[in-house]
Amino acid sequence: MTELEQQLQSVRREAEAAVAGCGDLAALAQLKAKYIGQQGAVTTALKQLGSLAKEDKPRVGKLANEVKVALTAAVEAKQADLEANAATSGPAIDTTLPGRRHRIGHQHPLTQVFDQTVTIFRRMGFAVEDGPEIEDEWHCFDALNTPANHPARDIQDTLYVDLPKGEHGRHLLRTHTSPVQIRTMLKRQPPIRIVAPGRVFRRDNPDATHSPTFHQIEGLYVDKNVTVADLKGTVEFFFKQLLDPETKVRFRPHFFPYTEPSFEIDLSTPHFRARGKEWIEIAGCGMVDPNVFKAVGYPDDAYTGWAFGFGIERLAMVQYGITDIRLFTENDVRFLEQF
Amino acid sequence: MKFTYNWLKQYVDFDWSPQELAEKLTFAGIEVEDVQTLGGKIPDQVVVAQVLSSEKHPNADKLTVARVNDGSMERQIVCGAKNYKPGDKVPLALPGAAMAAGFTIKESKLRGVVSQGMMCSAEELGLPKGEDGLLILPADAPVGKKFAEYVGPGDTVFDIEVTPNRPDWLSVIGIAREVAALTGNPLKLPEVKTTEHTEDTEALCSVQVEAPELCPRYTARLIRGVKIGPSPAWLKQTLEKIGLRSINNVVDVTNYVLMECGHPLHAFDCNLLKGHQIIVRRAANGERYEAIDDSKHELTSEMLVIADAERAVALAGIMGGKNSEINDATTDVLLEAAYFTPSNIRRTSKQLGLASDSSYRFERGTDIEGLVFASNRAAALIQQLAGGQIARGMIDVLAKPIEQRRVACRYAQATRLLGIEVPPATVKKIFVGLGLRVAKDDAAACEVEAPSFRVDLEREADLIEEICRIYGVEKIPSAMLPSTAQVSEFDAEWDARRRVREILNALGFHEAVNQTMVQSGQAKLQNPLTSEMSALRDSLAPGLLQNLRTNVSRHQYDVRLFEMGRVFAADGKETWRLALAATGRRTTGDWERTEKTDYFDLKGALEELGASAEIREIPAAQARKMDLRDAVYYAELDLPAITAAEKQFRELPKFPSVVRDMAMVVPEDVRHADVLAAIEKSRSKHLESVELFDIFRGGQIPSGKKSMAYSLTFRADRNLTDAEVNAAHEQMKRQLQQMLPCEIRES
Repeated sequence: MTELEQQLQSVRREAEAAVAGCGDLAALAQLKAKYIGQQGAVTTALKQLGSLAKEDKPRVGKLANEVKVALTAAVEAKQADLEANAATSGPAIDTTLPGRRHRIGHQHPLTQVFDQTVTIFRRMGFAVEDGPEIEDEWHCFDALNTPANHPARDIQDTLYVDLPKGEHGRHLLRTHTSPVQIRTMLKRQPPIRIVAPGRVFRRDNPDATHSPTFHQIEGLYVDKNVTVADLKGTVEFFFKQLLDPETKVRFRPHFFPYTEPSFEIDLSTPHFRARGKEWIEIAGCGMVDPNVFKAVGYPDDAYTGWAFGFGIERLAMVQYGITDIRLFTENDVRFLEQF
Repeated sequence: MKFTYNWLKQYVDFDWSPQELAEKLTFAGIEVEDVQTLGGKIPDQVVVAQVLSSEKHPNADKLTVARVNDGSMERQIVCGAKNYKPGDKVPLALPGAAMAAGFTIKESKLRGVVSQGMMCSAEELGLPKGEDGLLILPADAPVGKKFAEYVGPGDTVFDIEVTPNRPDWLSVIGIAREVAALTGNPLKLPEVKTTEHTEDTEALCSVQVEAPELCPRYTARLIRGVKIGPSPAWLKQTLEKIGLRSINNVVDVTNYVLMECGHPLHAFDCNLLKGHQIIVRRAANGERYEAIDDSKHELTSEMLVIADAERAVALAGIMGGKNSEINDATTDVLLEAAYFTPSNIRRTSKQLGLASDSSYRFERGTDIEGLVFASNRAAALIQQLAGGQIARGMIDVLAKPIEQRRVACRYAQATRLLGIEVPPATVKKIFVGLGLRVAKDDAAACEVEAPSFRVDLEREADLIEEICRIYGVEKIPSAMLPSTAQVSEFDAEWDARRRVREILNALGFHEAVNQTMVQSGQAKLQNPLTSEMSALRDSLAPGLLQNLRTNVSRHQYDVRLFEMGRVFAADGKETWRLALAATGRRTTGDWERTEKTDYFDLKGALEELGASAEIREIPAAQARKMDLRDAVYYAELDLPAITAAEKQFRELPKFPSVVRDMAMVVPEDVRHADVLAAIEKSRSKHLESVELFDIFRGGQIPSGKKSMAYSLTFRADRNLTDAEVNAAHEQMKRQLQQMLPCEIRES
């Protein structure tokens, strides 16, 4: 047995005794460094292997390795032992304390309705389109078959922007998202399937049910043979997806300048019914008026189409039972956190 | 507009209950806003009684004690109303009468005086509210008669909302026509018999239209020798049920016919018309006018007036004048039935802020042919109720012949639009039911004459709407769209915004939405609602700061908000912006000690977005002056273009890294960026990354200095030896000490 072998054996005995008698993790870390660390006894011994006779080298090398493995195992076992002890000593943790949360922010409820609506329409192959909030009279009214003397254009109802009159008339804050229909149809030929979410403006004094700024979304589908039947099917699918598969949808004849025929849409959902409301008027729709196609330069009789739209605030209010529209722009975190 | 169930039944047969009628009308496009039941539940113990005398109550200032005759005996009644006098006839509830309000009349003492019944107001009997106080009955009401028999059966009042394209629905006959189309039953128009006198209308008065572009038709009839007086009960009650006040027999007739036929009429006292002349002309600029509601106006030449030889006597289609109105002394009535250009009436009404049942109809479009019927109907009723003689003939000034509108409907186009084939026979039946005459008809299409009351029927689409409405949209089956896919340029932007929201939500920022209109901004509104909303926002800051204040004022101190929205430049250019604002603690509802939000929270959020912006701080002291509590941090930037960045996989490192720490004591004015720059200059070729892991002040560190600790990671495409890493580390230390006023701490 070489001197080195004896040395290794004695280091092993000494280290095993020290580890066994060690009582805390800090001391154990020191022992670990002392015996099997980079500057430790075993490592130092291994560095002397080179000076041994050739026939001794494999044997001593193997021993040194065994010692290292054994000590490493002893240290790890002791460490696990000490950690387990540490965990059970000391006061027990109060598991009823609240979890440590990194609270996430919430999307605004109006954004959520927008997002859900867009998602459902995308399932049906609709693209999202956008347009400016400052519009001109032609895009907002004329092209949408709204006559020059229509009340919607009154300065009592529509907000006009103090900008020089352009080739398309006065500048105004758009009163609906429908100008996006016009911009899209001018840009390209059918088939067109778009959904246009956006902010709109009316000259209404703010109160619990009116806001001069509010939001709408509308869909437009134009192709060679689009029908009322398609309109009904799409609207029904949409609201069942958005609200409840048990949603009932009914159409009532109505009037809008830019569609003919036109309908108002009433909804009945289990949720509304539970609150004692059988039908709630929620949206408007209709077949694109031939004058709208004329305005965008589509040839007579070439296409048919439908348009459909609703107010985001109104839907959110009836769906969630919100009674004051001003809550949407107060941004009280206790309100936002509910959605 | 209001009408009643019983009134409607005079013109068409139907067996729907009031509720069924409401539903049918709703699905025909006439929105029923309100259905109100009137009367029909008046107890038998309510009778017509006459007041004999009235005295003050001895013990109460506000009460009176009346003696009344109920037809069989005299009774003493204590009463709170003041609007009656001896001789008046009133409804009297006798003891035993169970009133609709839920109590039963009993003989009792009121403040020590016996009361043997109750004199009633209209409301107490479930009748339309007239004037305040007791319901005073016409003088001819028979004393002792059961009141229920006297007023007749109950009725139901419908209040409907009519869309602007259907002015023909603003009349009972218009609604009856719709019911006729829905039921297939005939429309029963009232029979009009005018017995004309031998004197010619034209010999007694004249009409001159100087502005035919604003008045395409003007007719006048003359009824001479009338006696103005109260209207009979049936007329009064009919008007009161729909919320109109009875004035006198002649005015009531014009209002009745207005509601019945939908055509506004005006009655002038012909003897107050100078020269017995009607001149329809534009007003002179600055011409003054006083309407019958006592309002005074200054007119412009854009406005149309009805004038006599000297002055305006009516504001055409809107309101009659004070100077020519029917009064108790009126004997000769000139009855106007005219057609005015809708847009002009609308503009004048708006400009003057003066509107009436007449202007409401004229501005939507009245029946240029049907006005003759309305005029005759009114003349006959006036004669019937007020006596007098109808002069022979009607003065009729028609600017140009009335155009007959013909509209064609191709059956194939109806199918193409509706998605269902409605048989041609059904289509024609629908048209005929609505009063349209089928003028031409073949296998592919039919052509109809649009009656003059249907101002909305101009194009094929309008006829297809009628088919859809009467056939029933509920009968059209729902179809799913054939599948296709579309995408727009905006789709990518929409998705990018969604990613921004997701990142900020994950960092604890709630999304806020604020108003576009604000007090100050570069782009201004021409007609703002208020000065606080007179401009378009050019920054999202005011809105978000206001939101923080709202929250803090409600004791929500820990707030992180962001908003995405458009801001506007002076020339109206729109830009999408993103703004972040935070105040209070870093996390809310935490039971451990939580640090306050600071600059680096906002900086970190921007770094997550891959964006940068100036971060503004409102220190706590200043924030408190703004009704906030803690410091506020705020940043605003153009909406970052967070696109789905191109993703490229990089091989994971094959060789282990070696980490060395380096702590240095530097003067306070040495910034992290200075250290990084110095490290960059002195970098060893194997230095992979540098990370700041601690800043320490105090303890052994002298004041005015700080200790910054960095961990340096070395890596190469092979195993690095301790020796070479140590050498690199040492060399960097030496170089840094030359470049920075630092002292490297040996660990």
